[in-house]
Amino acid sequence: MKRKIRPNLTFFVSGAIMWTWGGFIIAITCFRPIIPLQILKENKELANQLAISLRLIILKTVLVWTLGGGILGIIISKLFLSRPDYEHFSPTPNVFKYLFLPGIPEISPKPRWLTGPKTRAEINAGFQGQILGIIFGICGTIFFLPLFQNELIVVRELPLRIILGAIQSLLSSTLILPDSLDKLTKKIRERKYEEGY
Amino acid sequence: MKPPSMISPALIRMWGWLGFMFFGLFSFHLGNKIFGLNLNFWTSSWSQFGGKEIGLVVVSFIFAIVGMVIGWGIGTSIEVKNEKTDFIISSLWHYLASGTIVWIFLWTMYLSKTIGKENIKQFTQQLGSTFSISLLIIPFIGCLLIASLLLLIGLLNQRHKPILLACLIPSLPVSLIMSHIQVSLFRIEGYGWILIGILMPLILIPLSSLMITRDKFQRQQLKE
Repeated sequence: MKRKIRPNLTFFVSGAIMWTWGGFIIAITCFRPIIPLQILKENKELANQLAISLRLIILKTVLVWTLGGGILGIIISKLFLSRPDYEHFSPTPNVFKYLFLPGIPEISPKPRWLTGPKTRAEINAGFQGQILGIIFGICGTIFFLPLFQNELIVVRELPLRIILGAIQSLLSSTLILPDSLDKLTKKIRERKYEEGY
Repeated sequence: MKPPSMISPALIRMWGWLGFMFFGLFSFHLGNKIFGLNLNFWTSSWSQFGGKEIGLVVVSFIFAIVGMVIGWGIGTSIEVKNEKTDFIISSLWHYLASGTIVWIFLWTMYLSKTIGKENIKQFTQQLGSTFSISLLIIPFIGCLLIASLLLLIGLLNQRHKPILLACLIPSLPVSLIMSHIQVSLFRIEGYGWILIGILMPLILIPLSSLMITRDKFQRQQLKE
């Protein structure tokens, strides 16, 4: 049971962490106050009210994005596991090694997000995850963000939201698979060490 | 003549449906013109029909069945050797066919709940041909779009059953947009369309998956 839960939990947590950052960025960039800054400077009470309102909106957005990221993480794990066996065993050329210049100390073991995918299954599942993430992010900025606006703070224009959503979701989704696989590999290595292999 | 062994069951069904529709509609319109009945296929109801009209519908139906058999014949004569091509045809067809049925079923249920069974007739007459045409065209385009998206992303493939949760991400926005267009065409107030938009892919994806598996099995049997 534990062996089944751990990978899912790892992917969920990884997705949730990545998307929490994304959600925070989306929340601070996609909303704007209706009242001009000059009025806010003069009216402290209104400014306080606006700050509380903005905090609440950021919290709601981050929560939704965190949950979405977690779900996306689980989906990516399922997509990765559903790849055919030959893809899991076909290695990819490590193009990232050319990025290491002589003299710069290398990290060992190298994290996947630095070395790039190691198998074809990682490439394909990662690509699918990115596409799903972008759809998830864009839909979130189109449909969810307007639900959080109130009489003091409104969402920005749709094209801007779409662009921000696409960039955020692409960046956040790309790292879910390598990060989760790194964590799982580390865990397996630790267990093997403890068992004395 | 020996029938080809590499046939695609989905292609046969598709040709059968095309034949059914073509022959049925063609004979209906031809009969309509010859007898000067002035019937509208999309808006007519059984209660307005007399002897001639019922006769025309029955004859059109028989012609449609003949058309379907001819369509099956055409479909059988086409060989699809590539497994992937067969899978793509099967996916597109089943998403289209099952999607349309599910869509009509869901909206009929919703309308009978919101408007009431006794008011549906009046409602359809009010909307005219928009009612039936939109109920066919929207799922037709929408379901093809859903299937194409799932195929392009690689969520639908021959190797494994589709992962429902993953497939919901691209299909939910499409089905919600479909539902929104439908409700604005029907000019109905309320948020029931969101429920239909969510239910649609939840029913469509497993149902189509079952149909595709059945087609795969039938193709395998015919090959052997």
